[in-house]
Amino acid sequence: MSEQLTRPSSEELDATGLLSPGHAVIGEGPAVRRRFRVPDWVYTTLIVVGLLVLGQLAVDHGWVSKLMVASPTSVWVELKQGFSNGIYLHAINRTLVSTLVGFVIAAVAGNLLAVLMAMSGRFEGIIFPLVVAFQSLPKVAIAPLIVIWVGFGISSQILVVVLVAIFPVLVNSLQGLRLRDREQYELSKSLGASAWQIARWVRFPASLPYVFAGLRLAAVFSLLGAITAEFVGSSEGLGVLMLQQRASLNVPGTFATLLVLMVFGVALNEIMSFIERRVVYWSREVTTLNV
Amino acid sequence: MTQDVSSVTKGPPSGAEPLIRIEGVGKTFVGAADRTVALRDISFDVEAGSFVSFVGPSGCGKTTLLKMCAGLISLSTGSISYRGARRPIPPGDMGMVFQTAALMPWRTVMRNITYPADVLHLDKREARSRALELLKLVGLEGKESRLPQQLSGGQQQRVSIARGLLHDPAVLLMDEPFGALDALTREDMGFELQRIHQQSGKTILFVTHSIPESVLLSDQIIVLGTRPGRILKTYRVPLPRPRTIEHLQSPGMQEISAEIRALLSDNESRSVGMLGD
Ligand SMILES: Nc1ncnc2c1ncn2[C@@H]1O[C@H](COP(=O)(O)OP(=O)(O)OP(=O)(O)O)[C@@H](O)[C@H]1O
Ligand SMILES: [Mg+2]
Repeated sequence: MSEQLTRPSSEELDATGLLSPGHAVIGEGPAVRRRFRVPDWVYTTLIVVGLLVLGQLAVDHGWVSKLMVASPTSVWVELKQGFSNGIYLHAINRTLVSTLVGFVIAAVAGNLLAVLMAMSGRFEGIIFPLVVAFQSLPKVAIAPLIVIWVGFGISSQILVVVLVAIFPVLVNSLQGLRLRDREQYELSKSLGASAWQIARWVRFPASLPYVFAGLRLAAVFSLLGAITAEFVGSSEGLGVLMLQQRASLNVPGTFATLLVLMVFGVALNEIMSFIERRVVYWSREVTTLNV
Repeated sequence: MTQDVSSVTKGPPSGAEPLIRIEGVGKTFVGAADRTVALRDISFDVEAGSFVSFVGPSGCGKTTLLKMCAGLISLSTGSISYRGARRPIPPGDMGMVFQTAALMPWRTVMRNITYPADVLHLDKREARSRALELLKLVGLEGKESRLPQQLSGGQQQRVSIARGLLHDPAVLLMDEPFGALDALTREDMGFELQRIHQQSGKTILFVTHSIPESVLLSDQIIVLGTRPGRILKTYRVPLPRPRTIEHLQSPGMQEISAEIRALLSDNESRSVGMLGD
């Protein structure tokens, strides 16, 4: 989104100060002839390809140990094999479920808490310090404890995800609900709007950009939480798969799983931005309250 | 409706049963460290169907006064009566146009204008067709599905004027509604407002920085001074309607304009002088 806002650099502005398309302007008066501008993604792709080639050469020529870096071709082989025998699909499925279920619970509970706090200053005053205190605790550190309480199954992973993801939802939504555009509020009052009408037509919509900023963070945190929980205590999932691959010194496999996780994370982010653009179509980007 | 053909008069207004009566109203804002006396001892009557303008320097309390009439800001002293009962204008009886457009960025122009209908549970279809008429009136035909951010500041303000009129309120409270408009559009909108006023018999309270505009449109002009905000003088403009731009050149109007200008600059220099002492 911000990409589009920053795009028109001075180079792209022609002599009249108007935005010209990225093509050469030929003829049309003196000195307006310019070169074709290579799009950014070409360079990005070149860097990726360059790194892949470098990795391949480094491993093939023994510049680095095969036990430390996997060659791109071996990763590719591992990926193909893993997907054809269903190992990956199974692990992805498990991680996906705990990530998504945890995310949804965190989103619902976080927003519910935010609404309660926005409605009652008293409730906020009492609860918020507890939330902050809890947030200061590194969640990874309590993951083992949660496994002890809840067990080795998927519910412990979901719980960890919820605990990690609920905070960004809560603080961002609360921030959004605290906003009150004075004049929109007074306009509503002058029409005799009830508190509920004001909440529905003014406060909720105004808070949405903040709600989404929180949700986008929470999506990323959810994946983080799911993998953390799997590292600590699970029998299935991408995190577990990676631990197993590492234990059997399967370096290409470890890299392949990392790649899957990366795609997973990017997909989550893209889906969230897609929904966000649809719902808060009117809003420019909001600064996120980070944790 | 018929105005006393007294020439420029001063002093407390009279009349049997005014629509709005402001009596000894004052407002002191109490901050953490300081107190601001925004208004002191304001009294005037607004007759039903009249057009009352407020002019005065920035910070003299025009917005505060308007919001007190609307019941949005509490009074520190004095009282406001509406239709004989001691209360501010009840919600729904008034249309407000704020100094800023105060549109909701997530609503289209159409949905912004029909917002009063949502709150007041008016018929949706009727509201829509009325909104289209109002859009034409403010010169924004065809822009109903735009978002506010796709409009210029002046266009946004016109949308907010249309919104203020949607539910056909008995009283219009307008806080510098033409502030962001160019001179020509401003003139047009002024005449449009005069037409609405004459046709509908609405009571209009109108804040402006333009003395000619206030003279052209008003039955009564309340000139406010600053430090503290108070009424310097009240003028009646007994000229017949509809008034045109030619009327502005008439000796009567010129005289009132000049007097208000002199009054305001006198107040300004005196308060600056006080600061210097
Ligand atoms: N909420 C508030 N708290 C404290 N002081 C306030 C508040 N609102 C207004 N004031 C003060 O009251 C005075 C009058 O403000 P007001 O907004 O009514 O002025 P105004 O006549 O509308 O000015 P302008 O022409 O610039 O809009 C100002 O000195 C302002 O600083
Ligand atoms: Mg004001």
